Amino acid sequence: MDTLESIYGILFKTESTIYEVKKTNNFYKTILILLIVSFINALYISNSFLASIITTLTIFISIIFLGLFLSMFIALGSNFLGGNASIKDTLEIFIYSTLPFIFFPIFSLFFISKLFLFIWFFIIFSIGLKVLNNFSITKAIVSIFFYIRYFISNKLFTFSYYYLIFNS
Amino acid sequence: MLQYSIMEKKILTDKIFATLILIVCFTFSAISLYSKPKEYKKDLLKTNNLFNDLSSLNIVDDKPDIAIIDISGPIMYSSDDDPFSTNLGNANKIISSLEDIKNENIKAVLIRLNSPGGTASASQSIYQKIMSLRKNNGIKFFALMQDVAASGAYYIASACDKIYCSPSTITGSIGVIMQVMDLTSLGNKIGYQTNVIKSGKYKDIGNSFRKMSDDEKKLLQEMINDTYNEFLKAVSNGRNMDINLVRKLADGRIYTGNQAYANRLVDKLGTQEDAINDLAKLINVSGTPKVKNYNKPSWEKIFESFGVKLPLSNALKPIETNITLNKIPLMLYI
Repeated sequence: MDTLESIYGILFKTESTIYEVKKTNNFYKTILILLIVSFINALYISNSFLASIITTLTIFISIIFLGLFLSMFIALGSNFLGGNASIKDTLEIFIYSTLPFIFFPIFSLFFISKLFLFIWFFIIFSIGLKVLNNFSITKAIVSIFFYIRYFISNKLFTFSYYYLIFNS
Repeated sequence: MLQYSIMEKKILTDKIFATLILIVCFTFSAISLYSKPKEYKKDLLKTNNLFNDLSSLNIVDDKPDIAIIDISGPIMYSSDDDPFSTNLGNANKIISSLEDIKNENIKAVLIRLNSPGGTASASQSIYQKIMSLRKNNGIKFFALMQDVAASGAYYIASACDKIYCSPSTITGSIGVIMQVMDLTSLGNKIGYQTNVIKSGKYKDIGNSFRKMSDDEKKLLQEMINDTYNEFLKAVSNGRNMDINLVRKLADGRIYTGNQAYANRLVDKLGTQEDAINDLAKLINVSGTPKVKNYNKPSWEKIFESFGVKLPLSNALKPIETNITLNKIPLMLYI
């Protein structure tokens, strides 16, 4: 399965594509996809071509770092729930889930809400985790929120001058 | 004529669609890149804070008349040497910026606050630093509250000579909070237990997997009260208000800018321009005062020299601010 097939498949036929991608285990393809996502968004937000090259690198690095950080906790969460995904595999799925953001410039230019892209990202990520760990979609969703629980329970035992509003 | 199987046709169709999608996305991005007006590009290179300073402010790179410090997001101590840190609530960085301002003999500082608060110790340290610079170095401090400047942010603002805000700024929330999650039922449901071996009765106080006892609650309440009294003293000293009056206002409630002004918690309802102009008059600067932002993340400074608005900040924000329960109400004119 080559890159173009993977791009189309992840966006529109997520589950079957991720099964195929999991079999081939090609990390260079993942990097290429991330570069494509980064470059499209960099062109949109930069003000010159040179700046867009630098911005591509910064977006690329920031998604890798963010993905790595989140993957550590999400892999922990999914292992806790009976899965067996590694941090590297979870990071790959995270990177694939950023594919909907290639539509970010189009959505921005036509004033369409980008919330849809975040929902799409979340759906791909959940399905990816489900396939990767071989468990249910509910457990996949719970493992995504596992990292938030970790921070809430450990970090809030401090004195805080905080204004907090709780919604349900 | 090439014969394709159904499978091959399907793969070919997927590839064609993927190519079309990529071409369309690249095209739109390229159109966006080359259609940005030249004035916008010049401003990006010139200004050092895209969202706040595209205005009439005279921003300089050398010694300014007025230093600006942004305090944004949760206020707490973070590592000083993290090159990717974009946390504008990092107390170490803020105090270090204040020290730089003192060393450069700058006579006036505008603290721009957009924060729901933070840890008690970080807020106290910044407050103490401001008070010390006011007393020992004669530096004038004005605070400008933006969307939200509650709790720990108000603590810091109360150290300033004057506080400005807009009528719908959210402020107040003078008080202390501590949260400990009670996950006992969840633990019982999923069969999760902890075995705690401890040296003292209160060593595992706040353990989420057992119920908190009454004497533990009492102990924590005493600590909260102690910290609360510190907050009251700080506001009373900073604002020259009677501590009993502060106590009446400090039941933890939030105030709009209008309400805060009516209760003397802020000095003036005004904009950034008002604050800068009044500060300039106070230090006898005529004409448009020169301003400079003193606590931008260092990586943003490097990349902005290339004219690049750094997306790194946005990507890393969730890591740095994920301890907040991110439900800040904003009043919007929509």
